[in-house]
Amino acid sequence: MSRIEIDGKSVDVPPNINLIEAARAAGIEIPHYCYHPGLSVAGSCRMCQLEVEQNGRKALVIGCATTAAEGMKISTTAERVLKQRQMVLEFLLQNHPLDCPICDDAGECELQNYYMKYGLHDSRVELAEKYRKHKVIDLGPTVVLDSERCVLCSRCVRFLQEITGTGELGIFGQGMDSELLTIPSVRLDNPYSGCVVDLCPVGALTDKDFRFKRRVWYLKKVPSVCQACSRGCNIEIYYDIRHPYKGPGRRIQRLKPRYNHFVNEWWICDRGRYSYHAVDAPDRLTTVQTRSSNGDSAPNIKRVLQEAARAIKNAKEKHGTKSIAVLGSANSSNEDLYVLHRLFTQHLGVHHFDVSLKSEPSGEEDEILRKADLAPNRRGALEIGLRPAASGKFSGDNIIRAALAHEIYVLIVVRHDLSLVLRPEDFNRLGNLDHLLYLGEHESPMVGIAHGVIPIAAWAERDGSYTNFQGRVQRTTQAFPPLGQARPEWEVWRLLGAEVGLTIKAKTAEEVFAELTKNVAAFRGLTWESLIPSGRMLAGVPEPPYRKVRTARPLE
Amino acid sequence: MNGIPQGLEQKANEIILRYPPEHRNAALVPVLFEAQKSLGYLSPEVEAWAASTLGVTPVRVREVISFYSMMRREPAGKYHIMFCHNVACSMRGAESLQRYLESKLGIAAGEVTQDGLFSLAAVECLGACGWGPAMLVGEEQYFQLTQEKIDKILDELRQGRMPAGDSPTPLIGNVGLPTE
Repeated sequence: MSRIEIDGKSVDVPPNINLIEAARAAGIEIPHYCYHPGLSVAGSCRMCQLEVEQNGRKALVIGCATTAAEGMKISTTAERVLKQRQMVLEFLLQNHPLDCPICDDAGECELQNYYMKYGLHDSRVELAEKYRKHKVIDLGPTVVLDSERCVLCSRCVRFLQEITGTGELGIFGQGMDSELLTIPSVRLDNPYSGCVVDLCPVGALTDKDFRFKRRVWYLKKVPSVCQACSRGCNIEIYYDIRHPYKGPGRRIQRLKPRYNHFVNEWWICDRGRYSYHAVDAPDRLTTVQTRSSNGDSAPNIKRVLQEAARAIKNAKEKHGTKSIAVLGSANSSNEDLYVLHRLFTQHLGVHHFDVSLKSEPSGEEDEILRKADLAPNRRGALEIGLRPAASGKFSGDNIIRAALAHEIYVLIVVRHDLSLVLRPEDFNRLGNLDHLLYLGEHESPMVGIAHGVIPIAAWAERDGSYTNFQGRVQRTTQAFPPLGQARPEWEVWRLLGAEVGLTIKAKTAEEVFAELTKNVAAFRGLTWESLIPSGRMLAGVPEPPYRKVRTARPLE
Repeated sequence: MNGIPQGLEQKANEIILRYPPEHRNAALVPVLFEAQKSLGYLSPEVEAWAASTLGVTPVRVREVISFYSMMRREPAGKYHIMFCHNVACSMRGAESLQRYLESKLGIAAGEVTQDGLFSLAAVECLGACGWGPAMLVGEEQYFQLTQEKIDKILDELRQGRMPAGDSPTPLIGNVGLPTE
């Protein structure tokens, strides 16, 4: 620890941190463009200049490349510091096209923000004299470059060298002619491309998925956790439901990474970044359906659950609990899985249940963030006890086999599309079970063969907690209400419980979680509040050691 | 590899050996200059070859080439003339001399003659401010240029002979500086 003074305020700072971080610790924001805590220091933008007094000598230094040392007196408000910031901004804006009215970054642009705070100069450059560069360069499948807007901070260049090790972007030319570009044979197409848009402090790099869709000041955000794989990267959901005429059906506008020291640092992969499209996809299930409706009044959830409850009771009486099986989903939240477990295994005594199938789709895995297991909560399902515990109980694949062999009479399936794992004739035979209840978010062939179908809320439409592959329990937040008749999965189990004589008092996800922490040893000691902002490890699971998120082969 | 002469490959390997193996990419600038010397310019094939030989990305190679003004991505003439247009040479008549040279070659700075023999570039300081006007032809330097001296140099080059370049030392007396 060394003691320094920032704007008259005495602060103790840890060793080896720079003045930007030291000031941040003291609650003071130093303006900067090129510095990013996740990347090497370039020192090129000169925006973070500060006046430092040490041993009686005063000097202007750049905060990003100066390490805090004992006895430093730092001024962020000295007159020459303010003057320097104004001059740096004037240089950066000298050839800036000022196309803010059509720029996607307007509203969250550091050129705009710092100009209003520190710049406020009158431009001395006529529009006609401005230096022209390339506009609308299609860099790859996700990113567009406008090099006129670029301030040459090189964050994107360093990200592609140090974090992904792919090096698709470079700064060509020298001096006045310097320009961020790539060469025609190279496409910015790696699994983390979207991060360069987050890094860009101005509007030079924009995301094709978000370009021209919505002004950023219309967006609201809630903290959440990515559902695209078992890593559980922390994210923010940016959504807008107040202007439906601007993009019908599109509630989520984009996902952005949210810093978590132990999980994803500042980054997310593109698979996760664009995974939100499923939430607003046109094939979302929004109505309760039952095979026995025969065109009379629209079915309600009570009727579908009564039919299921009757089938469950019948099967139990005639064939015993061995004739009932549940194929849950590792995409469900801890609360869903807990109520499911409580209802079927503890209350009804069903012991054929699982959440996993051998042939579930898997994704590409790398040492940066992506995991092959695409389900966000398989660890949670295992901890809660949704796995075949002993021999004689069926795992996911055996449940299906047993259902086809007439050993199972009532089958409950969550999300899984069994038409992907069965031959068509076998798949259609599942429709001959006494009862097949299907809970899902999206249209699937399962809807065609199920006796009852209940739409469930997508992850952004509800609160929940998920356990990542390391055993970290993290919380998602509801951004907006579910579509149509969809509701959180645990609510469906709670209602079904009421039909078969199980009363669950909890009425919110938080209350379910509180019950879960009392009854499942692995979750003991956790509280709903403690999961914000960065999650908590399961009881008895040690925090994994810190690891810098980056490729094993960074470029020099 | 495609279009890369054997000799250049060998030369590049010699250059690479001058650097620590973990900093192989430090050889990028000398290897590119060697390639430009042997081929006249840095073609896309050479860029790709340099990237794979030195284990750097093609984007990095382009960054380096575009940074250094003495690296060319377009073919130059057999004799590439770099004519200084900085202030010291200009004060000794380089401006009119450059126009003379341009009219004599029939090209402007930045162009190549039809026969491919000469190319001309107006460049920044050649470090010969005391002996201007100055120019380089390839790696030979010529100082205190006059129309006559330029005529003589071009004539010799047209006949395929490289006239001996000037060395600064004997010239020192001519501009009134004290000699040892």
